[in-house]
Amino acid sequence: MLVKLLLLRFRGGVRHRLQELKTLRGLLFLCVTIAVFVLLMKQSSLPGNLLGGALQAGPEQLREQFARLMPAGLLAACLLTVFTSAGPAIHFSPSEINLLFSGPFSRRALLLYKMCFYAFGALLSSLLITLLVPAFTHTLLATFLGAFLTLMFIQLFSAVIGLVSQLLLGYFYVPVRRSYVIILSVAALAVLVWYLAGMANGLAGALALFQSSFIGNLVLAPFDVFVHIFLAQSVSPDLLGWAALGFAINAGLLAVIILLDGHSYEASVAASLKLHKRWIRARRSGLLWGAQPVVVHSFRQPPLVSGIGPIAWRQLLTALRTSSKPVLVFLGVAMLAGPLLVIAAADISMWSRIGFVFFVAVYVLPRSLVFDFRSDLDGMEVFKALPLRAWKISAGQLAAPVLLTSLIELLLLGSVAVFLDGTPRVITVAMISFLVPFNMLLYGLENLLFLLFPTPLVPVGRVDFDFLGRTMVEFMVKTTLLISACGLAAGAGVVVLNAAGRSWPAFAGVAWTSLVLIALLMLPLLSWAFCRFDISRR
Amino acid sequence: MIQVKNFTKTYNDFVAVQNLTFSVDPGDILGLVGPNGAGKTTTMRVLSGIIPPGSGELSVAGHDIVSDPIAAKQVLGYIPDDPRLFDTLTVWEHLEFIAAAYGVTDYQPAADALLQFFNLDAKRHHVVQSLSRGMRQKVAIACAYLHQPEVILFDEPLTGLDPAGIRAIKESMRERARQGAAIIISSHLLGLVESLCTHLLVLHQGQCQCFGRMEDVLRAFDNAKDDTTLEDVFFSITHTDETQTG
Repeated sequence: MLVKLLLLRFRGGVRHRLQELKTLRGLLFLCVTIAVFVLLMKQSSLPGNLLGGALQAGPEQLREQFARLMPAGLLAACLLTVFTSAGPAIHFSPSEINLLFSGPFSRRALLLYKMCFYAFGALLSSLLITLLVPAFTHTLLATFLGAFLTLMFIQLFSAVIGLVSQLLLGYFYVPVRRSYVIILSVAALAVLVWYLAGMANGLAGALALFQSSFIGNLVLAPFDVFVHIFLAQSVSPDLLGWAALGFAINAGLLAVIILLDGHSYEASVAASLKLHKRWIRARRSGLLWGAQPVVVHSFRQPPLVSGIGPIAWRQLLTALRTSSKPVLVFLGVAMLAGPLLVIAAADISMWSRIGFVFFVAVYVLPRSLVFDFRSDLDGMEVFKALPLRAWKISAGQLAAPVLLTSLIELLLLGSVAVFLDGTPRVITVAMISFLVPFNMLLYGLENLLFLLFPTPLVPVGRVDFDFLGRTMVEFMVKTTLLISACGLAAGAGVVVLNAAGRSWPAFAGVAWTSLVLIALLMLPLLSWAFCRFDISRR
Repeated sequence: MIQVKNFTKTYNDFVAVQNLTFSVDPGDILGLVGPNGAGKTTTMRVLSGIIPPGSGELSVAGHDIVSDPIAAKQVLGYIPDDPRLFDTLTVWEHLEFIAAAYGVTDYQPAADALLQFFNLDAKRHHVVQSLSRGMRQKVAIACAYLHQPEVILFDEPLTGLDPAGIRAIKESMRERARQGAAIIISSHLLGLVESLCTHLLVLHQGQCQCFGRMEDVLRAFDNAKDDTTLEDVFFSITHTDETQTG
């Protein structure tokens, strides 16, 4: 019966994808996604390219590095999964809890059903990894099997650790918050790494020291198996032998899960529902880390500003209540950017710095500071019913993220100007003056794309291929539009620069004015998209 | 107060509402009933300016909903079936927000009175996300009442409410109608509609099946029965149609 359900869900998923392809958006996403993957595959066929310039080496050297680093890397990945998974060891959706838990199925059958579900996701991910990883494995089959069994191992390992934690917490009352345990563990690990690094002259030496010790050998032994699967030279006996061992480890972990799960049935259900609510909230609001305050101080008297004020006021309150900690982290990192760059400047090229700053400014911040239309998918009905012009609503929605992002970038530029010697002050001041129009353009584009193609901003579950494809497409479209708009503004400046006898202030003034005009153009565009947004078709 | 003339709304090939004509005068309460998918919510959303009509003339307090939407919305209160509140705002901040958005001055006494009336006073500083479904519904209704709308649209207003809440909201509807508001209630609770509404409109498959004063409609379907209820009328209309189409 559960096999039938799996097949039906698979068929439903395929049908859903095919239906999406009938739309212009679906086709567009497919084309751009294929183009991106072809580019990545082409790059990955060149050994070492995906691993950066530091690893520009032949396949043999890459294999040696892989064999040396992968077991510890896998251990780190498992620990990271354990520490970052706040949800249940095995997650069931509310519909699964309602329909299957009350059905004539044993708990073991349900766990196997869920594992099959995870395995399907891991299969797809492995296929992707097989196509994209650098060509240093001996066969594609080894890459595929290695990736599949490794992904399943990470999943099962974290589930076992989660279940053991639940079991221990059930027996012993531990009056310590989970976050404190994580901080303490990370601190202990940092001290250990620092101690080993001191003994062995650096991190590489510390890793080698750990790997050669008895404890290191013991801890890393299961992880070594998966490295051998990737690096198997022949199908038989190498690949088959190591894959069988990897499969046996995973089967053993699954057996432990089945054994332990009966002890945490109720906790598992409660945690599943809690996690699902969080996902739903994240899908609606785009705020994955949004907090949930219950009783707070009510702020009074939102500013009117011709109707723009209440909308902006509400979004600023949302930022304050749900994301004050992440915003403070961004502000702190921005202030520390200067000192950090002083420490790391010797190893980082100018283009790497520009690329990094561009990625943070154009992708990380807009995806983290979601206090605009993107977090109001459920509230569109309210905005549509308000007696306010669409442009006022649009302007109010843009105010909070533009101001917050500009503040973060202002601190970043200030920090860099103060701490990094040789930074021309005039360039810093000029860049600061461009922050607000640039961010207005950036968030205008983000919201325009969202209103035209409304989709959730966070992935749901461990494998969300839709989300991956959408994100890549949106990033490319947004980047193209941003560069075009900035190029247009700069082009206008260049025209004046030539006409005004190489006057840089004239160039900056015209470029700034042009960028402001282009950014202001976003308001009528957003108003049009807002009016066009039909909530009944969602 | 509410005028709808030859209103039609389609979604691609699907006709949600077809050639609908009705009106609601000040002080009247119109019950909008019909099976699922009849076009009730579409009608309510179009009247509140949330989605555009396909064709037809719709006006609220004399303001055309297409050509003068801001003025129409200024005098309109809409309570959707699922109260869409802002999760991060408190109950009081919702009232502050609505007052600012609708330009209501000196709203504090009215807001306080509404919180008292709906038993929300103790929850004024609670973020609405933490409230129950029924309480969220009360907050939505309080917000809709704050700017003293001349037209109020309720879509399934009693969902999730406790008996005291149901009584309070029914009483508030009557009171608003007495003060001259034109009210439309869309609901599947036929008992509520029969006890509260002065007029009735039955929609089925996007078309108006009957419209008129409640007593007149009940009388028209009074087939030798003295105690014809709205439920009898409803099934008489919708079941007949289903038999015909089936």
